[in-house]
Amino acid sequence: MKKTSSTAVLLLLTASLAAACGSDSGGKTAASSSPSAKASTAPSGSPAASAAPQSDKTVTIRISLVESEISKDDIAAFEAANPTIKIVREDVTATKLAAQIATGEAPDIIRVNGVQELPSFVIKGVALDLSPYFQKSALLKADDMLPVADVYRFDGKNVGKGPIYGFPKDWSPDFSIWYNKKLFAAAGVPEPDAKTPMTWNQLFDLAKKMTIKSGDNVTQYGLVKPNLLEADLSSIMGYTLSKGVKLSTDDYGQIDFTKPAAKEALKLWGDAVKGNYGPNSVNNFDKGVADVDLFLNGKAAMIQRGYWFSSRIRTNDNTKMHLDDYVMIPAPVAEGGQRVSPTGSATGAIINKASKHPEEAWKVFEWYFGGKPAEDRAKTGNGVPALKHLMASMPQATNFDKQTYAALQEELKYGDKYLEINPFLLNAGTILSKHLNPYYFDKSSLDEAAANITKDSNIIIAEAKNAAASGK
Amino acid sequence: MSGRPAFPRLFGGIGPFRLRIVLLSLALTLATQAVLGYIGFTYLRSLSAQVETKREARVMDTFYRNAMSRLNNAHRLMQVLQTPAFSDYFLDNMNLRQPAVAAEGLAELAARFRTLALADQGVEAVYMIGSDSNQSALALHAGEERPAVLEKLRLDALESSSLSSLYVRSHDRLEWIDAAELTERSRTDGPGRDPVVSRELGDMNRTLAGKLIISNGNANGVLIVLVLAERFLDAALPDDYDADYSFALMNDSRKPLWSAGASVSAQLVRGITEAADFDFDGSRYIVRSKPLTPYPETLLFARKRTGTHGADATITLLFALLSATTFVITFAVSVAYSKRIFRPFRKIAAALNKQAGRDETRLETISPHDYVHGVNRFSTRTNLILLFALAVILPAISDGALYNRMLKSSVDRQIAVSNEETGRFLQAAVRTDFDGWRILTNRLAVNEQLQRYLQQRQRDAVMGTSAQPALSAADIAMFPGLNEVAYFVLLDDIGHSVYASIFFNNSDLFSLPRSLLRDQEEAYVIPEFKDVFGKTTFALVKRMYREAEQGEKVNPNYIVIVPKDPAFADLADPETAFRIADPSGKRMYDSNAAAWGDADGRKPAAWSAQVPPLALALDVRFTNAELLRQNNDYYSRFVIMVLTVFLGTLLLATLLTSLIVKPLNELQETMLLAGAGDFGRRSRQRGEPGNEIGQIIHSYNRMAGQLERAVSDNMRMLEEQAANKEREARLVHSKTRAELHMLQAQINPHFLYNTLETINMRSRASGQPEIGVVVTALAELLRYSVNMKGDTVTLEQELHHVRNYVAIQQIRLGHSFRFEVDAPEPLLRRRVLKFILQPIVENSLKYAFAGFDEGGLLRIEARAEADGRAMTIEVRDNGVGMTRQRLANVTLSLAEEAEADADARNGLGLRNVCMRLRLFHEDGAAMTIDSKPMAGTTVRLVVPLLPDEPA
Repeated sequence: MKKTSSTAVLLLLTASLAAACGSDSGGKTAASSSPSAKASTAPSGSPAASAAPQSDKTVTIRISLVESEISKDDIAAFEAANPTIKIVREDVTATKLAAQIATGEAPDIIRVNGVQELPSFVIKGVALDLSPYFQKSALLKADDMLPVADVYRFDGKNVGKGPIYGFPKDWSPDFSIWYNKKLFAAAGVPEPDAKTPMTWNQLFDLAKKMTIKSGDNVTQYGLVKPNLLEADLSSIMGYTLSKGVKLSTDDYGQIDFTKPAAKEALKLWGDAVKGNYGPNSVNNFDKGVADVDLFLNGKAAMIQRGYWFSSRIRTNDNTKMHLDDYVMIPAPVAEGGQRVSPTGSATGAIINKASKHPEEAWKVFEWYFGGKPAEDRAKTGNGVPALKHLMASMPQATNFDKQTYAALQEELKYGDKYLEINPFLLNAGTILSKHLNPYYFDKSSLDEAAANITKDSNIIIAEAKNAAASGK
Repeated sequence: MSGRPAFPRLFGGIGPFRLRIVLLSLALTLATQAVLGYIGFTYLRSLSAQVETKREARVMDTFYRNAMSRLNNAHRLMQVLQTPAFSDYFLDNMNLRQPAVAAEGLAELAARFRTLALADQGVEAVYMIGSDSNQSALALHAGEERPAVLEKLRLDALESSSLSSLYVRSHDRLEWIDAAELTERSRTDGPGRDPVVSRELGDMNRTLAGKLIISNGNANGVLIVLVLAERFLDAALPDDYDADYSFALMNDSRKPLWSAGASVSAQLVRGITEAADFDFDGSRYIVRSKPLTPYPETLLFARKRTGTHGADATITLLFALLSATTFVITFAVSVAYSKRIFRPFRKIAAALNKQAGRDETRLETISPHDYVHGVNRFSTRTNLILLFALAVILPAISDGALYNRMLKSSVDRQIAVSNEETGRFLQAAVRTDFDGWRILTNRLAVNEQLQRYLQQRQRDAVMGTSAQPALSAADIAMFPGLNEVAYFVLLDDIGHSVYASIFFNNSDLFSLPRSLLRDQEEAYVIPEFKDVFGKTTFALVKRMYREAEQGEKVNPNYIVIVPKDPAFADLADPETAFRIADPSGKRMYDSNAAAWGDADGRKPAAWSAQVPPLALALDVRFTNAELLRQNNDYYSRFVIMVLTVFLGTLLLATLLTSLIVKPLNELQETMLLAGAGDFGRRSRQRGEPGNEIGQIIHSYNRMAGQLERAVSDNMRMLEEQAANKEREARLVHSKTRAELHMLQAQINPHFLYNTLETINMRSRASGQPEIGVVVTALAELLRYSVNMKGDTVTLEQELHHVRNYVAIQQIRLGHSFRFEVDAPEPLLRRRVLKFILQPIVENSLKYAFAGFDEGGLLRIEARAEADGRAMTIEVRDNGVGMTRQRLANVTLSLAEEAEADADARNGLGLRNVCMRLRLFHEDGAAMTIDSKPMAGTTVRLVVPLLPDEPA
């Protein structure tokens, strides 16, 4: 989180700079920097405009999916069927993308973390309003979409409302927990209930029990999650979602991390760090080793990962031979909170508003999200498809498949609520680590941390709002 | 001689044949010089262009690879700095940890930085800045032992000062930091800025201002900024490079980032970044650009075009001088030699001339001894060939040799410049490569995985456990820059291989004798190193220490780098061979062993230098094979040209000889005919009589002419005598007949006259004096009329004739008019054409006084004109005059010869007078008529004064 958040700061600053300077991408950027998404419904992406002159030539569509997400065979098949379109996949980091957006060189199709990034991309005017394209599409039909597709709707205030800007390639209720039966058996700790969600407290208690130390070193972690086992924005927001509490004001102009629900969450994570249930900033254990690898290598008893992780278990050399050792159980709930199982990312893509070939980009987009690649993805179980008709393709052959699929179906029932994402708070990770690390290191108190986080966040929100407003 | 053209006069006594030979010689020389010049200059240009092109290619390619290598190093350094070994210190919340832990981390980091030797990498400073106050931030200045700790400057502070976008812009690319922009951005700081932050930011800005930087764009949570030294890219050029090329680097928005080379100015850089040829300061600059793919920067090269090569002017001058000299030589030789050739011709001509001039029939003989000696012993053809050989071919050959020397020395100079430059660029390239390897060894020395591996081994050794594969080949294969070498080996202190980047399971293959290991800080080379593939090459060795655990003494390890085979592959050039030796003189590298033999007997140009800092000896040899081939081309062209000139000369000599010999043959034939008595035949003269052969022919012709004239004179005298006699007879005959005619013609008037005289006498006798008067007048009229002697009479005689006529008419007309004459005495003696007044008077009497009974006046006045050349005679009456129409008709009739109408016919007498005057005086006389109705008529004659009547 630390990395993405801090780069996101640069992203925002760069983008607002570009907007202020009236960059080469022309009036588009400036016009769409409005926080109101309604402005974006203007037919700036109306088909035919910029695509026409290129019709006799091969058009190259650059796409920033990562290598494992789009195969060379798929690209070749598409290019064979569409000889005038060439697809070039490009690796971008957040920093590179920020620079590309600033100079108008960003890919035509930009991979985004739907939950966390879409609103900001809309506000910055990077995302092309795809509503007219979706309306015409035979592959991506509104009545075939699962509610998660709404993550890509944003009206300037609310996620899930307004024009649609993109689509998830797949998604998962990302707060689900997986555990390794063998490690529980070895530790003599009873396995958690697969049906009833644990509270966060129960989860961390269990993690504590499953953590094995050798002197100062930890030889087995109780729980791992993406990056470090520390508070990040989505885990805090997952907690407050369960609590039914919103930290931001309705206009996203203010946020308050000192609300009791937020502080509860911070306290829980602080204890988890201090208990060293997993790698964190203080213990610096297993630096650079991914949580997934720790779990798959049997070095962690539990992992907080979505349904998509089932495909890793199916394919990893360490795990694929004994799939039945791994069980997916519901996402934890807050103490006294309701059961929720939101998605934390719903990674997908948007079309760059500055694309010179929106028609061709849409063709690729439609194919990737509604065509054969989408069908293939559904079959691997590497995430939940966002189209209903693909659900049936998901793996249900083995016991493991069946258990996982059943658990998923339960989770999906609680997946209609979205994490609260303040689109103006883009460097939350930086702010959180800046003020939580002293708390983890016992250099400051929880109250101080919460107050500082709130203060810095509100400064950033104000700046971002100003930047967005002045970019109009 | 008047027909002789003007030009040859310049040559005084040179005859046309000689002139022709001289001119031909000069023309041949001109042609030869032109061809020599053309070949020479073409050769010079072509070689010049080739040397220049090669030089350009070498300079550019070498600079490009050096710059690329430097750039690679900078980017790799960035990669290395982003590895945990360097970055973790800034991610690990050092400010929240125990001071001892932080201090230890800092010490380790500082040691790693020392090993990296930033200064060697062309890096002036490195900033590594953590995200917030929990994290550390350091500034490392090259050459400083310890990094400077930044107290409060963190990423969040940079973000709030709006400087961060600068670092985004410089993400993975070179960016030139404009001091003004820095100041501008820093000024937007919030007022409440911490003074420590301001100070640290100010320091940083000062370090960055006007420098090239590369940042990691905060990609790993640590902002890393490399501040490149001024010499970062200069090091890709030879030291103190200031030759003909200029270099610049620009980014993808065409912003200039760096420039160096000859006389670089801001304006020049601007011109260069247009990446098109441009004019600057009166010179044309040729610009080439080459993108530094995969980086977004583009290298630009500009070469000032010297128009023609610098030496050209001197060569042209020398060429002109030599040409002029050659012309003089050709002229002198051809004039002198041709004079000798034609001397006998001239002598014979002179002898013949003298013969003709003496006008004698006795002929002199000519002695052959006077003419057939010296060069004249040879045939004319041989002589002409000799002449052309001396006047044209010899100078052409010597000129060719001279030009060749000149051009060759010019090209050699240029090649020397090019070689020197190639050598210096090679030196820079070799230095760059060794720098790269040294940098690589330094980076490997601080590589975390290697360090961990060594520590693991040490632990295993101490604890007796077997070595775990703590280091995988894959880990190391990704090491930035490792793909530039064949492999590297990690040795322990006694030379046992501990790790090798290839053949991982067979690391024993790589062990080295201990004697090759030197316990020294500086990297060194092993020459004549046999690599694992059995090839002899060289290796670079760097001592390293693993990071010691507390209180532990560690033995050195050694990193051995073996370059890819062949090393310096891209520097290889079939015409440039180079070898590198270590400081002790041992061979390390030889790009082309064959080039060192003097196979073709020509000693190749050489250049040598030392390559710092390893004190390697670089020797370069330039075979310039292509240039040698061109040179041979030039020689063959030169030989072909000389042959062509020689053949042309032969042809010309033949032609000229036939021109000379042909008329001589004709002359001989003519002489034979003359000998047979036919002098009428002349030799056809070709060209002017001044032609040497022409002169002989001319002289002969003159002589023959003279002989012929003598013969024909005699003939004519005889003929004339006969003709005279005949004429005399004819004259006598015609004279007699004329006299008879005259006598016959005189009979009748005399008879009439005598008769009239009789009537006069009788009428006087019978008292009829009037009849007598009339008859006397009539008789005088008659006598006057029949007197055929001459056309002219004195005015007095003419007037007398008029008086006689008037006397008759007065009697006829009953004295109805008076008649007056007014003529001064001198005029009376003047001669006038006969019968010019009487017809006029007759005309007046006929028309003027119609109806007059009395009162008519007819007056004749004569007067001399003022100029004394003419006299005017007016015949005036006061009669009825003429209407204007009539006057016009009469006047017209005077001018015409045909009789037009009645009026004109009436004026018959006048016309007669007028015509006779015109005939006699041609245009010297005039006759005009003035008349008005009832106001009389005046007829005016203006006649030239004829000489007086002889006394």
